[in-house]
Amino acid sequence: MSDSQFSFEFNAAVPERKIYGVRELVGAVRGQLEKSFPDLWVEGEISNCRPAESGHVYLTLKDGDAQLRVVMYRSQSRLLRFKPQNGLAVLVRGRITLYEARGEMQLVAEHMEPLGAGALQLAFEQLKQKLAAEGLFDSARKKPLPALPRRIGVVTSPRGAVIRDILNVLRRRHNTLSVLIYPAQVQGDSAAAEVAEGVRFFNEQAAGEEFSVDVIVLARGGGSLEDLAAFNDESLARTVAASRLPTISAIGHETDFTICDFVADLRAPTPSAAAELVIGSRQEIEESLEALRDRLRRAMQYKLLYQRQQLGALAKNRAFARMEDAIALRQQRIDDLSFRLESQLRARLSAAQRKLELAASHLYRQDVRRRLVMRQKDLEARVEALTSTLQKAMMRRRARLEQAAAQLAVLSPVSILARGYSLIFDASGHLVKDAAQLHPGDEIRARLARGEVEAQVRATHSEAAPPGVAHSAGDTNSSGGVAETTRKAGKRKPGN
Amino acid sequence: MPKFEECLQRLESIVKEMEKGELPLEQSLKLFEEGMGLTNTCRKELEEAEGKVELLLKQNGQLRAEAFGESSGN
Repeated sequence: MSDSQFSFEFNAAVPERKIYGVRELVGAVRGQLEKSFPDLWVEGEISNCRPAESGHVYLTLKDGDAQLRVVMYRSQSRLLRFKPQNGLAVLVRGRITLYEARGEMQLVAEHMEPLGAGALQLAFEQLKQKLAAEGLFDSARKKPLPALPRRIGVVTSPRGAVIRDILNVLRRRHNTLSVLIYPAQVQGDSAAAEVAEGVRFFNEQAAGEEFSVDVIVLARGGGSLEDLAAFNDESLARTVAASRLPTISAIGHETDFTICDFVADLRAPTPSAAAELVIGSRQEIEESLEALRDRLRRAMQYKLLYQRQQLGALAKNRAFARMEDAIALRQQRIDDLSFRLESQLRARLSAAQRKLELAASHLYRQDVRRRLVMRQKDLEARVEALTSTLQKAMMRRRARLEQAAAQLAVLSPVSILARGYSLIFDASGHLVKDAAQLHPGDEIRARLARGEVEAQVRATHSEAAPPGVAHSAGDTNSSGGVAETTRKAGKRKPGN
Repeated sequence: MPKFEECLQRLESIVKEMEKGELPLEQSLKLFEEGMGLTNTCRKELEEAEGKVELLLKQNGQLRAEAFGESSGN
């Protein structure tokens, strides 16, 4: 009975036996799950994140001990503005389903965003890290602004307040800089591509004349992170980094940073500041040009002053001093001669005067008026003759004096040096006129028209003095024989 | 454009050389004259800019520059 009791109870609990096939059961559960959770939000921490070749992303969301498998298909994952990473807390929207092949429950994600920081912010940080790792922000890459920009290319919206701010600054500073505006959307889906196109355009035109600019300014007014998103675009960032022309990013307000700010050669806190920067370099140049001009002038003045001093010092130099002495000595002699000339003249005149007085007193004593008159005439004639003789003599002497002075000038060591000759002095400062005066190893000093040379004698070659040089002009007749005899003598007295 | 920068660089090196004061007078004079010539060239370049503001416009697939009226606004 107990059996029947049992069987009754059993029958009561399971009125009919329903046996599922696995596929059927899994399919049924899947249907239930999909019906119950068609659209939900779930948050958790990413682990086991595996992006697949196909572009699908597989990951597990963890929350304590519980896990949820998540798949995000390529069509959705490519819209992500950040890269899912293990450990990242995310909020995921999707539907629950069952992966029948494994019998695993999984969430098919439609959308995913990082918790805490916004997705854009995260994307920004990730792109920034990536480009920094590639070295695109390196200061060594930064190109200097041109010293004298003639025209700047501004990539911006021609309608915004931004371009007007820039132009206002330029006008306020009375600047003559030219501006070429490349119109581009600075917000929205096409913005990044349009701005990049502008950067490329100016680079392509750099070699030409018509549209060439010296620096590119990317300008946009302030806005939210979403508004500035175009300037965080990776492709735009790479275009800016590749620009051969220097770039200035002038995006948003001082507190806004974009990826473009990091890759550009210079970041201006605002568009107006960008204009100031460009003009600033120009004014610096104008000032430094003036400073260079002043320095050039001063250097030249200093050089002239220095040379004048040098000249003075040179004149005091031993060799020249000696020559000057010689010249002065001769000058003195000339003066002397001319004094004597005049005093002789005076002496003769006064002698004549005395004679005249004597004669006059004689005449006076004879007291013959007629004779006196005759004598007087005779006397006057004689005085005249005497005076003219004296004058002639004086003129002759003057002429000789002048000739001597002219010869002296020609013989002046300075003018001889200027003609390419040089003066050689031996160690004791004596002028060397004969090779025999020197011996190999002797120190000599050569005075040139400009400068001095110190040298050492290597060899000497004595030579017979040619006629008329070795001897004074007076004894030319006998010089031939003397030259012959002195050739082998070798030890002629120095100084000839 | 690079010509200006070259001028300026040359000028700078001339001034530096002159300031050393080691050159003979004749060469100093030559450099001085060259330097003064360069400052004049640079000044002229500085004064030559025109201050034009132009906007690029696409027309039949070709870009051309048109004077930008700051008041026109569009």
